[in-house]
Amino acid sequence: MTRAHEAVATRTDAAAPKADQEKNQEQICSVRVGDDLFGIRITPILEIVGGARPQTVPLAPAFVGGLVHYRGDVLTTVSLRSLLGLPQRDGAQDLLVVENPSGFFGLLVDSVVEVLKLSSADYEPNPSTMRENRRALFAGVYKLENGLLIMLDPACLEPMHLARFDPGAGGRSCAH
Amino acid sequence: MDELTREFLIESQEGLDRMERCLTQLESTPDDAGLLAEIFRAVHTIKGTTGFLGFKRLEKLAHAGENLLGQLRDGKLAATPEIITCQLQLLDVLRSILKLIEEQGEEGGGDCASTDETLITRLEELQNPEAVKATAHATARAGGAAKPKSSGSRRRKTASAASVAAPMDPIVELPVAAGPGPVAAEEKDISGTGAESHGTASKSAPPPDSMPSSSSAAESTLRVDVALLNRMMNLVGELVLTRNQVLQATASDARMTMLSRRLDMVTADLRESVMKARMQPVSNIFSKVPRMVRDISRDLGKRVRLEMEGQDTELDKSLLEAIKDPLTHAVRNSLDHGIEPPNVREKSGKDPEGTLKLRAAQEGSHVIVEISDDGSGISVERVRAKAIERDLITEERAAQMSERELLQLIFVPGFSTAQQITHVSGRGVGMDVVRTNVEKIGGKIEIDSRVGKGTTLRMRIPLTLAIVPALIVRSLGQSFALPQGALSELVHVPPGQADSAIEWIEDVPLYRLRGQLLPLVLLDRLLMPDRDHDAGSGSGGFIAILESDGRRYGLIVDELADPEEIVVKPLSPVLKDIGVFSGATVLGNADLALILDPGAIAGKAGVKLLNESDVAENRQAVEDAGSRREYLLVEVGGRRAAVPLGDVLRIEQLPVKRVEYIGHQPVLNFESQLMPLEDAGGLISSDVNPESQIIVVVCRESDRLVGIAVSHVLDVASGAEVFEAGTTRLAKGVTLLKERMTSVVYVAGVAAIPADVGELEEQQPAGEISA
Repeated sequence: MTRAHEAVATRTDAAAPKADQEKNQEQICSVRVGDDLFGIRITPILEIVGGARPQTVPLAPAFVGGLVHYRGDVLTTVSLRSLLGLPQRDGAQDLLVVENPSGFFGLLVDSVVEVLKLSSADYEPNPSTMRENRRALFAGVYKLENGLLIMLDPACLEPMHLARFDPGAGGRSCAH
Repeated sequence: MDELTREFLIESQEGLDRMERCLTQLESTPDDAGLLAEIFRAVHTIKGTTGFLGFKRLEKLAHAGENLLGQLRDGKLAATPEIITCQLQLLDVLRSILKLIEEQGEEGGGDCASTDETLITRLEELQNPEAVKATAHATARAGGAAKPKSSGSRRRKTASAASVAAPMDPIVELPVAAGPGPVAAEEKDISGTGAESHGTASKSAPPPDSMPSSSSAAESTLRVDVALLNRMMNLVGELVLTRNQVLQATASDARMTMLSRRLDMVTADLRESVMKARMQPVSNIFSKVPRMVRDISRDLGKRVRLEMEGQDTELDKSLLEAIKDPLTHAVRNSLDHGIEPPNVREKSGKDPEGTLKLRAAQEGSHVIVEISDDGSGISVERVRAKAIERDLITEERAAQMSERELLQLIFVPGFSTAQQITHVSGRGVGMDVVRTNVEKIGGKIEIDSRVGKGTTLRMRIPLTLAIVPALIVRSLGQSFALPQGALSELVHVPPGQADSAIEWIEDVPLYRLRGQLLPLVLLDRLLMPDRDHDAGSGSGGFIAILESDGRRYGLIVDELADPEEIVVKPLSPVLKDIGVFSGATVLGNADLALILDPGAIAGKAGVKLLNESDVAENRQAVEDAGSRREYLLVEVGGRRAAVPLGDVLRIEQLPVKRVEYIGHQPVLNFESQLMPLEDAGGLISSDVNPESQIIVVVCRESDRLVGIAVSHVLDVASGAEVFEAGTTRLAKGVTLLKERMTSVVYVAGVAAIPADVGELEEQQPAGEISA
């Protein structure tokens, strides 16, 4: 839970006027899945929960990571691992609680790394050579000093959206 | 929409609800000044506020209505049915405008100007009694012009579309018949109005400006958003879980135990209070009925008196919403088919005015809602004949069923949708839908009817939806919750016996339950169709026998855990789409469990309706029955005896002290019914320790229940009939069970309860009778 508190703390920072001073900077939460680093803007992230053990749901679509009990509600989670076609991992995972217009959902990742402030100058859209089904998930890339940070768009990760355009099954580019 | 308008909408809708109630009351007591004043106040308030907010159309209409009401209030006019009808029409138009404002932020108008005009003219005419007389013909025609196109079948159809609380108003309906343009929208508005205004109105506490005398009540209540209450309920649920964990963690520390006990109590109280906050009086939906009864009975030319009882009974808001449709449906059915026209009633010696009675009462953790009429009733014989004709049951089965059981057949889908029954018995249109709706919220529905005397429809609704009793089962190493409502019994299949207990037709598993084949669903296979399951490897398990939506099947699970009161949490749409789970819950040990939906599982596994499969089962059973019968083998005081299995209802284990006496006849209070007890073995003689347990086999004998006290229940076996040596005469009272001659208990021979005591029992709770 300590990580959760950190996240709340950083969120308060985001609201502080300091962030406004450099308008072309964005706060991005970086997460690790497999060998890659991914990023999500922190604005829609409600909370980060460490050590989540989701309860699997039989017959659910493959991308559903299971259910998690979150503050009196039962949260449906999306497993980024299964979305990317990586093998499932046993044990606890980190969970991002993401808010979207229709409610909220959980995003399961291997681990949350840190919150970065990145300049929009370092951003580039998806390369034209990227596969279609990845295009449906990724929203461009930030160039970091020691590698790339692949951006994710929470709206494209929403379970209902994924159910409609199953990216694993060929997929379309994300409309958002 | 700004706060002011929203406030206005809620207040106006409350005002209109009140006005509707008063108007229908006014019809029976036309001189009630208090009622008139209240109606006047409602319209006046609307008029005043609309002028201020700039809703010109509303203001004009309300003004016309207010003028007429003013005359009534001042005693210059008497409240004739005509005036009341017109005021009700005004009410419907006002409602539809409020709805428009709520949805679009404006009151509309252009398209409806002419209909508004007609209504206003009519209201003005009614203010002048002479003019009314003079223009009686003209208005009749004007009203007529509006009516014929809309009334009749269409009108009735709309109203019966269950969600419509109030039938359509002819005048607003005029554009429907006249032009295709704004029709659809307008129509939708009106049909939604009833429900919508109710929804909004019921959200709030008692109206703040109802009566001068009730001002203190107004001050002590406030409006609360339902969403906030739901959130509170969630948080309380969370607190309950945290409490459970605290209790577990602090069990060893004495000081902490004190504290956590206190936490325990406070949490329980808090949970109760929050649940109470969600409760609403049944009058919220009952109040819609008088108007409906008035309109429909007029339509059908019947005279109906409405009696309502127990309106202050409280029910969870969501449940109240859920029984609104079934209630509407049942009331319509009673009016339409139950209560006869006045001339028919007079001929059969009844009061020409029929009575429709609504009753609500709390019984334990359930609320009973009854809709009864004193109409023509349903003929059991015709139900039986129709059910056999439609192949829903076999004749043999029908002969075994009690009248009460036969009547319940009208809820079977195949029965009611056929509609042929409608002109025969009077009921049947969509009764299965009514049942489905009631069962969906964990309720039960029953019908009771006597030809010529009337019909009673009884709904049993749980007090709250938020908390459901469930059995926790385990399969695939995971916990699942099975709602108790659908569970009828559990069968244990011991390890090693699974192969013989479960029979297969290719890949279809079946279980022989008391001689009848029951389709089985293996939960692990259903949930993991891809995994390689080792077919019936003898691991054992439990069969939960479920009944839902008229389907009956067994669900095989690996293990049973405890029964638990679970708090239902909704699932996200993605998981709801799987169609096997109805929700999720957090268990006492903080584990998550999915809630299984018995009806959906039956559908997914292709389990057919109960009665279709029964036909096949019965045929097979009948073929067997010729030579062999199934018996329950029991031991009574050291001797073996057999009870025909077909007669056995259940087997109960209970303390001896529960047995009571009427004279020398031992009796048992069984599910609030008095049951005579046969004690051939002297098992319950007075010198037995009152705390010790006895086993009672409960049997059905024609139309009564009898209990047989036994020492042990040994087995179920099929017995062959035996012939007396050298003859073809059947030996009576004995059968060959497991190669041994066994005497058969003559169930019909159990002494009846003395008749006069039986009557006594109806007047007071059975538990109080003891010698």
